[in-house]
Amino acid sequence: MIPALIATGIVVLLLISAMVTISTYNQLVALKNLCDNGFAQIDVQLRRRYDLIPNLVECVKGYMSHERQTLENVISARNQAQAGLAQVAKDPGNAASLQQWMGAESSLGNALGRLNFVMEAYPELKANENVAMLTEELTSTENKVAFARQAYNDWVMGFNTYRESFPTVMLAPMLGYPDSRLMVEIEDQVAIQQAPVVSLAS
Amino acid sequence: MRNFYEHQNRALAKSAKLYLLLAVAILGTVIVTSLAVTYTVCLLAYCMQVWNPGFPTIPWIFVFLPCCFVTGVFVGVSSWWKIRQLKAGGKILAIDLGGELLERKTASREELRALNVVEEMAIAAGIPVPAVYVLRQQSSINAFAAGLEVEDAVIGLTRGCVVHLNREQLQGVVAHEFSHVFNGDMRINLRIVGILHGVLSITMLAERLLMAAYEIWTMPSTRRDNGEDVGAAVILALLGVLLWPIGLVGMAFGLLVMSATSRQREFLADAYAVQFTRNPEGIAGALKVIAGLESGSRVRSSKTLEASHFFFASGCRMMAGLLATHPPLEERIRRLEPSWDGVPLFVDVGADAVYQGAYGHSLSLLTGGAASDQRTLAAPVLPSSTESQHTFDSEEHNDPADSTRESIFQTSDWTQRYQMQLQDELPGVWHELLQEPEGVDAVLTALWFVQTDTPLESHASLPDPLANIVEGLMEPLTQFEEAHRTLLFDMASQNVAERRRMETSGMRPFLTSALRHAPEDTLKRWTWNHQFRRALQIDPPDNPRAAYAKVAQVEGAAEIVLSRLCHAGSSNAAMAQFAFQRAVVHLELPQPDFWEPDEIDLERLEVAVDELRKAAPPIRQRLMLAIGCCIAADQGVTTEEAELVRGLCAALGWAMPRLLPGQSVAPGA
Repeated sequence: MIPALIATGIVVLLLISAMVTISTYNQLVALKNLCDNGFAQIDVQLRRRYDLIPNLVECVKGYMSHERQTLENVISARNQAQAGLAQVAKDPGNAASLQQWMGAESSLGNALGRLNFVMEAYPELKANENVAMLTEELTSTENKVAFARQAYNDWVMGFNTYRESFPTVMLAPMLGYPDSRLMVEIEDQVAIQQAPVVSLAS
Repeated sequence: MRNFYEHQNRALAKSAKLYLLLAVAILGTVIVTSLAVTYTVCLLAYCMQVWNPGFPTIPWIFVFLPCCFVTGVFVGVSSWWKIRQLKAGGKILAIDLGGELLERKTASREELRALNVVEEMAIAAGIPVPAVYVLRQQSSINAFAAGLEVEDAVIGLTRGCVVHLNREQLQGVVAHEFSHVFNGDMRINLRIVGILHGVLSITMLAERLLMAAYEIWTMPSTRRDNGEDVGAAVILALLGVLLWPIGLVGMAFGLLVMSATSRQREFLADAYAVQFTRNPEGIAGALKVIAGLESGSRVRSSKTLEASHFFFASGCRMMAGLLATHPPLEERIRRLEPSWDGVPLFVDVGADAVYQGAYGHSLSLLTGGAASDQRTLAAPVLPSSTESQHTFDSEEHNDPADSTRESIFQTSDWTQRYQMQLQDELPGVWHELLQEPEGVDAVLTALWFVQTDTPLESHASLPDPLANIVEGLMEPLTQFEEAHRTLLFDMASQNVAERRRMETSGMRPFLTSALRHAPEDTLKRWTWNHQFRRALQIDPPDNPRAAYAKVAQVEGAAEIVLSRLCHAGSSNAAMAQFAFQRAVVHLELPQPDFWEPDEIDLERLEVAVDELRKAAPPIRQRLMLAIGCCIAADQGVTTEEAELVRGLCAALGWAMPRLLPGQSVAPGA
């Protein structure tokens, strides 16, 4: 009688743990896919941004012959960031390549901030319809990157919270999720903050 | 973690209570309706029995139960039909409200920005990008989300929304609407609107019955067969009168329930907007702009009431208190920004064609309908455009009123020609004098003595050599006409403005102190002292906070200033009154008071100016328009008129028009 009870208890326990494991696994997969989808969204917007930048540079080049260095910096930072993103896209979970790309991304931010600042000095640039259009597109794309990053980070936080809470934290390594994911952070655009204060007094 | 399926499930569970209440409302309506019909039928049967004793008695329950069934089916079918219609997608609602689909290819710069903002917020909320409709006829600021599924959602924005809000504010508004999409509020709203339509259809049926009764009643008596038709009309009318309020009461009850939940959802949506944008200033700013805009968030459309629950801010004014669909703006702003000081944000409505109608109106008044004449109004009214946030592409609106609106604010050819003619008439020595800083200051000082009618002897502090120069200049100045002196003042003050940071002569300290202590006992002295102080930037008045957003709040002050100006510009009281009547049209005051000249002393004028300084830019613009109208009423600019307008603008700290005495405000006049 007692062995039968014990056997039943073990079977029930096994069943329960199997169910918990299955549901944990499913939840982890769902959350991971949400994160991957979020990253894909950042990826799409970043690519668009990388495509827009050479167009903008091409457009303003004619007006800003004295700012060669600024324009060259933008292009080289853009190329680096693009290469970095290609690395990250191959393996989104890899923290090292993510960090490297984030560095390139923040120097691109600095270069663009510098370009924006310099562009302020050319009123005829603002009057140009194409430039205005490209600037609006670039602004919007940068916002989209920011919002996509925000959404991605929220989803990553959801994934990490779930993965690190009990009992998932014990099961996750067995189910193929040994690590928490890294959030995407891009350092504040130093160039914008350090831009000289323009005196408006005439 | 934000996963919108979870949010939707939670929202649906919450709305179960709402559905229960609505079910009670419908059941109540059905029962009351059936009771009314039963009463009518039983009354009829009773009358028949009195008239014809053989008529059988009808037990009321036999009438009541089928009635309940029929009414229930009637309400159910019309609700179902409406919901089905609404289910066709938010598109229908957007088009019903006069929305046009925004497409990238045809969008203006502002509209493109709106499209981009919607895409940005869709990414932040993690939902597909909805179609965007713009309500081009609505100059107010409002937005709505509609559509049953996240996939077929639609975002509608009014023109005011696209034009007046900056990027962050627009993001806030769109994020707020997205949160309605996200929480499945649209699904609930669509169902409620459908159900209420079903309840309301009882009232609509009653109206039909009353119409039919009326038609029978007014039919020519020759076509009336006999008393049977009259009887039918009475029965129809009785049924109609009984049923009519029932639908309304049901509707009112439904609205009450719906409004209460709707207000809560608005707060929730505001909170989500902050979550999506991580920027409470955006949505709070948008709400403040609505608070500062005279047309606010009103949407003028016959469908507004029906769609009131879809809007960003309440779409009609009538709905207040318990029936309000949205919490008061102030409360919403304070929840987002607890330290708000209660001052709304003002946008430059002139940037938009908001007052298109008003402009067109004023022009047709002045020209007798020839509103397309570019040279109708004088150039003098140049409002500062610094407050403008954004301007709509002028190509966007090829409204005829647009081109004329601009002409009011631009210096026209003949005004410039008049200026040039006067400049040519000035002896060359004056032009040379104005080349040097000493000369400019000397001319200004001499002009000040002449214009304010101050004797040179009264100022002993002026050192002798300087006094001699000034005296030498004053003599020819007094010979000049008023127009030349005014022009000279303009030229000199422009010179001062250009050289503000550069050297000044020894005369400047004297002029500054003289202006600080100058007596202001006459209107001429008051206006000129203000002009001089403005030109030399002496003690510039600090800009008070814009405290008045409505014309009615500065009614008295505006009337005083306009009345005084009309007297200044007209040779007799009748002409002045006529000019005043034309001018106040722009202020849309219910009962404008015209003041007599002896009622307006300097003290009163100063009080009025102090009041007007607190007016918001939109009022300022309308007032400038009215002032322009005053000046244009008699087609010529008198000296007093020019002085007064210049002095007023200087005192108010508004852009000063280059109005010259003797200039015409219409060509050839």
